[in-house]
Amino acid sequence: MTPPDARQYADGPLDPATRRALAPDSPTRADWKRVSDGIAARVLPKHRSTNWGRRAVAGLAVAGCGLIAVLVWRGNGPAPRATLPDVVKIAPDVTDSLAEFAVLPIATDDELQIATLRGDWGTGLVVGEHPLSGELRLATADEVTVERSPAGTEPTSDHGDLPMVFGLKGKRTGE
Amino acid sequence: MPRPDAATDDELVGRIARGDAAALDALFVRHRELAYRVAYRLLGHDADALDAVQDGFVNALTHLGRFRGQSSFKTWLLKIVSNAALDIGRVRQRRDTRHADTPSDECPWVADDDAPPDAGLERADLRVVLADALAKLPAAQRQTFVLHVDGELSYKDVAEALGISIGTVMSRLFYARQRLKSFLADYVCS
Repeated sequence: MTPPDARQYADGPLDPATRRALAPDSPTRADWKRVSDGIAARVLPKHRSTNWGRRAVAGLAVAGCGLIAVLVWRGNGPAPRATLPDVVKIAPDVTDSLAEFAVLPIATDDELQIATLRGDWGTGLVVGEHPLSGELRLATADEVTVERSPAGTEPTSDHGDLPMVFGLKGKRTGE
Repeated sequence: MPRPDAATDDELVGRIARGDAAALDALFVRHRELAYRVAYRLLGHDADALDAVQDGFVNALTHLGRFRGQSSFKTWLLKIVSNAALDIGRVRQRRDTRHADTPSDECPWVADDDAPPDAGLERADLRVVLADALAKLPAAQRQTFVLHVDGELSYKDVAEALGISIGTVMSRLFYARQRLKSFLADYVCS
């Protein structure tokens, strides 16, 4: 006989009674205290000294040094820098009309559940980033150089069943 | 300023950032049981689970810059606690509990109307059985399942916590349930 509560756990979500039945024993107050203290020690700022007299003297000293430094710097420091523009262009815009569409998306490993594999699947499955993400564009005749081929082979725009050559993304001639 | 136990999570988090120890205590008391349940289910060991709860609270509160506006604090906390638990589990390889608490060969679920029920023993054995079954799931399925069932997070919250789609959450839950049922069937008493 399968434990009924365990089966309910697998089916989930749990009703309150089953949840209580399967819940781990709660830690002791001492355990909680130890954990709470550990969190506080790492999260809260460290307790500071309350010797206000010494802190006031130290504060005044720091402020005085700061004031002197500012006066010296204004008298001898470098000329102020020119104001930088708000936006600095670091690369030319590249327009990709299909930038927001994934072409031939490939599943990520998070999206893949393999129950069984039958037949010859080789040694792996490709997941993750598509190697040709973005727009796929046929190369133009200007981008293809045929160095050695059977007589009569030329670039053609008639697709048929012929192999295709894709051009580099963003490098469109004639535009 | 509202009392800490009446304040929202966001208010408490803001006060903690200003060094309010009472706010930290209130937030901890509010979420510690749920965080512990998630960590315990992922680790099957009480001391390790407490370590995960501590690490989770610390990391959740010290990395708030990555959290704000994306989900509730509870979802954020359980995500980090579950990640901490998986990290601890990987390091310690679930070494202690599963070896120390291996259930006996006797079947604790055989109904015996004459014998008084020993609820404590039965409960402890059930927990060990569940810990064993959960340990056999892939980490991603285990984390998804525990966040939903023990962490009481909705599909949407689990998806936000793990950075995956709701469809992936449903898929992982489906396979996790199938596997759990299969593993639990191994405990059928003859």
